[in-house]
Amino acid sequence: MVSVILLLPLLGALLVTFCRSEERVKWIALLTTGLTFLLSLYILFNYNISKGGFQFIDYGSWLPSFSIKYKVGVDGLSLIMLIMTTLISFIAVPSAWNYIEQRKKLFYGLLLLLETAMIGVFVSLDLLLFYIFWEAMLIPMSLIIGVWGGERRIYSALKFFIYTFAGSIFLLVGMIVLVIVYGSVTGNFTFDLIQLSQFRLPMELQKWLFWAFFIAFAVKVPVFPFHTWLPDAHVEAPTPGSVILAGVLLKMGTYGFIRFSLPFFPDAYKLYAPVIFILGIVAVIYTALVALVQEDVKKIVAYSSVSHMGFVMIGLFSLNVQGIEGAIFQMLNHGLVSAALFFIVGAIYERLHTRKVEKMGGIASFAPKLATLGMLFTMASVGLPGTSSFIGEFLTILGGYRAAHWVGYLMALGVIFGAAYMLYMYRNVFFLEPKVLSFRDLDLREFLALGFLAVLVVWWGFNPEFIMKFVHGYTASLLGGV
Amino acid sequence: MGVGFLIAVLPLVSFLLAGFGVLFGWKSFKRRSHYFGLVTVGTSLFLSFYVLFKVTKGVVLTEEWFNWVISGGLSASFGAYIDSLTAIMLVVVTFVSFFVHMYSIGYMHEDPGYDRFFAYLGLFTFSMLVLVLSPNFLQLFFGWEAVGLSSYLLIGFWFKRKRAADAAIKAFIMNRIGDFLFILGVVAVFWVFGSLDFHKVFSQAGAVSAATLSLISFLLLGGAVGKSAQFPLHTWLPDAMEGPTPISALIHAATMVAAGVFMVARCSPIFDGGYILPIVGAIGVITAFGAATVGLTQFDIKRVLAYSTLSQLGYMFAALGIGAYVYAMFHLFTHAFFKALLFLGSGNVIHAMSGEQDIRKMGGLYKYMKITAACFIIGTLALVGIPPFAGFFSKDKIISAAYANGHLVFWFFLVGGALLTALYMGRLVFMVFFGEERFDTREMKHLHESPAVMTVPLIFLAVPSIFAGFLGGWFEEFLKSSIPNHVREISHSAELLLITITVSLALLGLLIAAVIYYWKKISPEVFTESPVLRPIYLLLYNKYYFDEIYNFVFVRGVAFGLGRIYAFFDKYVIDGIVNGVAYFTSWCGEVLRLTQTGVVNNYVAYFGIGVVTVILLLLLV
Repeated sequence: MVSVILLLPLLGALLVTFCRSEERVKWIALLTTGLTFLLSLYILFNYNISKGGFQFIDYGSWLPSFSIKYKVGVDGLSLIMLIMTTLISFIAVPSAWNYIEQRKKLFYGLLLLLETAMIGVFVSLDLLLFYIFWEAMLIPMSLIIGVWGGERRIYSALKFFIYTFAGSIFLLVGMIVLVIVYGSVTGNFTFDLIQLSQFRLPMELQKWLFWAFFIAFAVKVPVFPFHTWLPDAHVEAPTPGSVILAGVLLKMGTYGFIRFSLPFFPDAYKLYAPVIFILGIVAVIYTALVALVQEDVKKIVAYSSVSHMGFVMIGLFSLNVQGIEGAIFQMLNHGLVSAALFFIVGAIYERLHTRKVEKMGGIASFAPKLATLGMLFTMASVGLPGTSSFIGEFLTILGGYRAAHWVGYLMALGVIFGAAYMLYMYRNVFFLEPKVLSFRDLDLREFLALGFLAVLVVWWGFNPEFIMKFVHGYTASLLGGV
Repeated sequence: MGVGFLIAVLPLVSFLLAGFGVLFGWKSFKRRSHYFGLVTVGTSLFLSFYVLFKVTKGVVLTEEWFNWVISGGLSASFGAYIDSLTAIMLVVVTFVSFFVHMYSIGYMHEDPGYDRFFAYLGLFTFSMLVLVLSPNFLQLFFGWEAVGLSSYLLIGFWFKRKRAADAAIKAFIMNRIGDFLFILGVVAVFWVFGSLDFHKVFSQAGAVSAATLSLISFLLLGGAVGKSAQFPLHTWLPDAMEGPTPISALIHAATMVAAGVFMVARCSPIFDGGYILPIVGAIGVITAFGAATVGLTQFDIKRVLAYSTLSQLGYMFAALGIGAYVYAMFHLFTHAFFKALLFLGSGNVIHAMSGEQDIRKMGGLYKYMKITAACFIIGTLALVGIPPFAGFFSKDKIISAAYANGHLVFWFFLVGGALLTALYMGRLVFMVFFGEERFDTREMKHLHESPAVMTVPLIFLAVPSIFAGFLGGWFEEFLKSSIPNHVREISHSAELLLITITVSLALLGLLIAAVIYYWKKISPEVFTESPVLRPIYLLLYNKYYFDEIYNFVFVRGVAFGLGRIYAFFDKYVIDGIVNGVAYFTSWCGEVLRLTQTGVVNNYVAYFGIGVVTVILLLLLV
């Protein structure tokens, strides 16, 4: 079943390639991503929570001489990431609908390829398979930025590609070392995630490998100070690119930390947690203040992502139930909220052809639907209770506080600064005297896409347990192993 | 689910109905949006009285609505905990909200955002009701933040005006500064008690060290100071009058600012166990007296009332600080009626004056709007504390309790505050309703009494403003089942003396105001222009320069100043290093490329140099 989900977008990409009509490809993409989303829901509703662990495993021999297998499956964590990926991909299509006007076939083909690669990252149970998807995802994403981006698209696409690729080299080397050490100790050479995570490396080696993995994941999250590619990439990327970048790609880094770093190197993970706390706190406060003075709305939202991912990082390294569950929930929530915010920014850009704050203003006078949804997602970004963000924010603060009080005190400052830059942005874009003569409100396509996300944000804000119930067992076993 | 659920959710229904009308531009909903509010909040009001009736029989109602957050040992749900404290709050909130709804039909009827206004009113009422119903800290925080959101939306209701949009942001951020501490307080409660349930936490509070309780209560106090606009987080409230006047009535009377007082009273087991009650009291006294001094100098009718709210909330905090939790709640109770009355009354005045808010341009309005003037005067007498009006009973109890518990400094400033209250309220009433008309009658198209829909709420609020004080004895007994009231007994004669002092000072204040502003025996310029008093006057007139200082230090200094520095650092240092590494790598490539000449002779030469070097090295080692 997981393999079907994994391959479906690939199949869609093939269909797009052979489709003759430039107009019809949109619909193929919409149907494919929609169907993929529905199938992932099927898995969600059929995952056996009481049994826990990896389920829906598909297994096949691939390169037996190197003990490399094709093995995919989902546990609670993967499942949530899977839902997030298929959902955001499904939302990305309507965000591209009018925005992408040239080379539609190529675009939607790449988008679908990207979805397969992203799904692959979250469901691979073999290290090499994971690595292949991890790197494969770079190609369509860089092309999306490089072909359909803004003025400095080539610079941003190259920066994105080289920066994350350079980080990933360390990951590859680290993985090979891990497999060799495991093999020489146990006599069993394998890239199998489950087997490897039950092995405890000596401390010295854990320390080295922790940092090798760290660089790859930290660039992707991004963790301060490895974040500067992100604002550039977002500003230049077309709307659907930003939606996927913020919605899904950033979580690959945090997913890596919790899926690999924690089980493989638990002692180093614990040892270096204070370093991560400091980087996380710097991210929360520093990037929030940087966001406050930006003049480009996309940069504001991009920096806000760095700030919010700071909460996730602190939660992941707090090593207690609330911190980790909060971080996982915050990953999903940030996927929804940041995707929605970039969608909104894109909708404004389509109408005004500017991203400069000073050229906007008074949009609420013309567009009640956009203003209402904009307010809802602004408040979600601010972490208002009743939205899913609050759950993630509160639990990660609680987790940080339990890990060390000073962490909780400092990260909670984000509550103030986060409100500041979001509310100033909202005022400058939606409030005040109109600076534009007219503004078209959301059309049905946009309203449905954003409305769908809004319903989820509020629903999961009041009923986080719908998602969290898949995570409880996972965190319990994870923390049991530390 | 249960009656508490209905009380809270009904206004939410009004919000959703009116809100969807706004969202989709349903014309048929637009002119009818007030019905949603009147029916739902009216029902909630009725149900609140029913609940109050049940609770007076000594029952505590608890409801569990649905689970919310579950993670590890943490489990919080939505529900209701209705003891006498909550029951009183329910009645106050729904009562004031109902009449604000009714009043708004008249006040907002020409506004293009009519339906949006009623949607926000519903949201505001819902938020406050959820807050007071909370059975645990997390739901309390939910209501707390939802109230903040609603006030943000309502203060910024006329969002095209920059001042309104800025005031809305200011209110939200000042509140968030408090909430930053408050959320940490909630976290600390969980850390210490392993639960967020009021019942569990309060029953174990006795077993926890005073130092720990002090820390928790300090963090919670931070939230209360922000929400109840106490010094030093008070500056948002006077600006909040940028919102439509009915909202000011709601914010200042029943919702929002009352939340801080309510929360401290609710958490009395924690505050009682710690050392910080004196700080609570000091904050209250500073605000009570300081805001009253500012109130003397303002010329905007709503701004004077706003400072009076700060001041009265200061009295409530002072009461909390001396341990007289019940008296704080009693003052909150009476204040809700007369402050809502005063704000709605000022709304009628502003309406009649075609939007003018400067009291220097009013005067003699009594003969044009007798009902409003009479109600406004009732509200003033209640606020000033003249017997037998409601404010007399509640304020006097606080002042006497300060004396009885031995807080003589507090007592001195609270009594002084009572004098100042009489002065600035007397000044307001005489300048607005009496004396010569300082406006051009021909320019005033609306110069007449407001329609019934805007005067009937005044009358309904005037009744409790007169009589609610007599409920004092019952109120005290009723609330003692929920919260303590640590007040020492003093002799009857001492109490009588204290009352005499307070009341005569209040009367003296009114008299001075009459001498200056009614009989005009003394010109106010004696105070404002004299070389000795002028600096003090300017200090008060500029509200002790809090806005200027905060703006300079925190907004432009810390937030935007650091933000600019960081943005520079981010762009040129961090990203500079990243690009530097990239350029260095490609520069190395460029340099090394020079060696790749493709000429065989060069390669042979490199080879020769290499061989010689190796041999030399081998010989040397």
